[in-house]
Amino acid sequence: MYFDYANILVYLLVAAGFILGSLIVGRVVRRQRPDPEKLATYECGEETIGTAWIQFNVRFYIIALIFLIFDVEIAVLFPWTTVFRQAGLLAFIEMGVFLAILGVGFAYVWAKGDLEWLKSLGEVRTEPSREGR
Amino acid sequence: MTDYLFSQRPLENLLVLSAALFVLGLYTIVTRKNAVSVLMGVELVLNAANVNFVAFSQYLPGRGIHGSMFTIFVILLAAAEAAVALAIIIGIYQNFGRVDVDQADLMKE
Amino acid sequence: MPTADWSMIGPVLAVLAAALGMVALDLFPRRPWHRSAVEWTAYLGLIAAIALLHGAGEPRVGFGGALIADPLSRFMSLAILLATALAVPASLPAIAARGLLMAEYLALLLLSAAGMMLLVMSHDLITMFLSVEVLSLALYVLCGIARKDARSNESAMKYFVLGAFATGFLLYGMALVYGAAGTVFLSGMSDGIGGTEGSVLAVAGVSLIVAGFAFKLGAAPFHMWVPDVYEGAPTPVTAFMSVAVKAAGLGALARLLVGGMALQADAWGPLAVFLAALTMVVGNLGALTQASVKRMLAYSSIAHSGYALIGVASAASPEATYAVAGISAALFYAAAYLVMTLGAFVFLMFAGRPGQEAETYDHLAGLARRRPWAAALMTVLMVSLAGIPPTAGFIGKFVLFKAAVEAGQVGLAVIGVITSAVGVYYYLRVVVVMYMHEPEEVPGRKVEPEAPPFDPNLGWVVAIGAALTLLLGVYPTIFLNFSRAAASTLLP
Repeated sequence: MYFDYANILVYLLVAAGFILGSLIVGRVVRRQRPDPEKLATYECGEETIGTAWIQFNVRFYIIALIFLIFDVEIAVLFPWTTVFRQAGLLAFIEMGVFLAILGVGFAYVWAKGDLEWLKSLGEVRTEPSREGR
Repeated sequence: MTDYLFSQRPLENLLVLSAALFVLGLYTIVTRKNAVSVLMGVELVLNAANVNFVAFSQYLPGRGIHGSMFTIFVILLAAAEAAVALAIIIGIYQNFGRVDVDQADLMKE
Repeated sequence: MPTADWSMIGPVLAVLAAALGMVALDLFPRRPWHRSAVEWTAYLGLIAAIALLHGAGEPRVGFGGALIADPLSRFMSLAILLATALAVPASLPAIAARGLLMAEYLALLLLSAAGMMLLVMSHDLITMFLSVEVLSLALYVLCGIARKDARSNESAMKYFVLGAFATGFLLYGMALVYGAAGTVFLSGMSDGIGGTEGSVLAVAGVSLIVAGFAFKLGAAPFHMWVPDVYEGAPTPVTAFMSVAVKAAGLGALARLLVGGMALQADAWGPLAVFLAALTMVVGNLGALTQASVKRMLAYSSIAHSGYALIGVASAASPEATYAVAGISAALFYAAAYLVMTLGAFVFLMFAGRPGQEAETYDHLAGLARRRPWAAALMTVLMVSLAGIPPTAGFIGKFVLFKAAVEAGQVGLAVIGVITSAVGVYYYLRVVVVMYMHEPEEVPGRKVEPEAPPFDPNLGWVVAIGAALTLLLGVYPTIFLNFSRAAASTLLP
């Protein structure tokens, strides 16, 4: 019975070997011109050192919420793939329609420029605006 | 020890877990001021229900797969809801400069 | 899967296709005809949906038991489509004045309507939950769609937080009911649960589901969000959501409780009685003290939820005829409420000017002299909301109270009559202000003698609302038969 786990061991070895191999190849092939900017730890465009209680740029949230939808909607694809053979053409068309609807949404986001990092969000006020009361 | 715990009354254990999650979620929604924390509370409540669905689907005889199906839809929906909530929160931030749920009270008489 | 199944959801597909079409139209570069193309896509979708709603026919279950097409779903779908078709022209002036994206707005409106139609057709808990969420998510966004307007944002935020709370209740209740019944399908749910004695799962589940729906319907004690959300949301959105959500929610609640949980009436009956009584009192008392007409109408919509819940409470009666009478009265009342409240909210835009709606009673002072027709239409709507004959509001309350007395809920009928009498005061105050008060000088607001500019489309919407109010009041028989047919197919 334990022999069955040998398969997994082989997978693990191949995976580790692949990573190791590509790192070595990269090190051999690439040019090396380090400068301080490049050597700095990358942290999504934020300062890496300092308090963790900073306010993140609000643009991250827009990207995050668009990502969230497309990321999680994939979950319906998993049960679909397991019954794909039995469910036949209709299921294929239905999934096509589902993905087409998501596609229209994605195209809309794209066309409206919400994927552009530099799109103006309008004036972000830092002072609470209470004068309208 | 764990074998003993979970083999005796598996369904009841899961129901207690889910009830605890539900209450914690409600507590978070009611007590937190920050809108993002409130959203986390909402997710807790939805996931409490998910635990219930999976537990019933698994442990009661002849329940079929509908409980598990329900869970997948709830996960999808939670994502859609979170996206809408984040969009609303961004709007609140742009107008009020903060994201506290009690910050926005222009309409109280 | 048989094609008959697809014809069941024809109306929903038409509305969805129109919504997607509008979004797709927005992808292309702007042309001069862009706005009218978007507008007509919406109308075409709605017309196609109404055409695809087949009139009579046996109730049919499809999609593996997930959906049902019966007189109830058709009655409610027709009401929802009517509300949407009136909300589209009512929205156009606000879209222009606030500079909103038209395709986005109308697509969300239609998506919400599609969710509502699925809700009244849903025959299992999964579909019911998903359609509640489809309609709610679209409405959260619509409330906050005026992104530059802080009040609109606040409205969306409050609606979301409390709506998500309600969603949690609803879903957790559904999970418990699933555990108790062993099925997600409404057929067989009642038998699956069995008696409620000693079944904590069933009682807790049913109570949580009722609480979740009470949130969505704006029934007390779950009504706190209604005034702020209705006041802050753009007025056409308020007009749409205040009527269509209630029609859809009531239809689904009736189907779930009477159709799916008939044997558990001793669990949900007292809850419905409590909710109805409290809602009538809270709504009417709240409306009395408001200075803003929009906020008054919001409280009034709480009160009317209470009246409609009388029908649900009466349906807990073990006698089948009384149950049918109660649900039928509630459905008729939802239709009557739909035409009069939609008209009243749209009137607030109609009575104002682009970008400045009439909000307080002062804004309406002396309106009868400047705009006699507008004032006359509003008078019809207010008289109907107050429940005075010969209007839809009177017939609706009459059948409701009659059903309640027959079903043994005399107390509810008495509370209903007393609170209606209270309601007469604040509804007729609008009429008195329009006809008898002189326009006052309000500080900071110039009152001009000439009639302000307004959009004629708004006038048509108000006129259709008032005309339907009178029609339902003078010839109620056809509609009462329709609602009775819808209610009688519900019983297992």
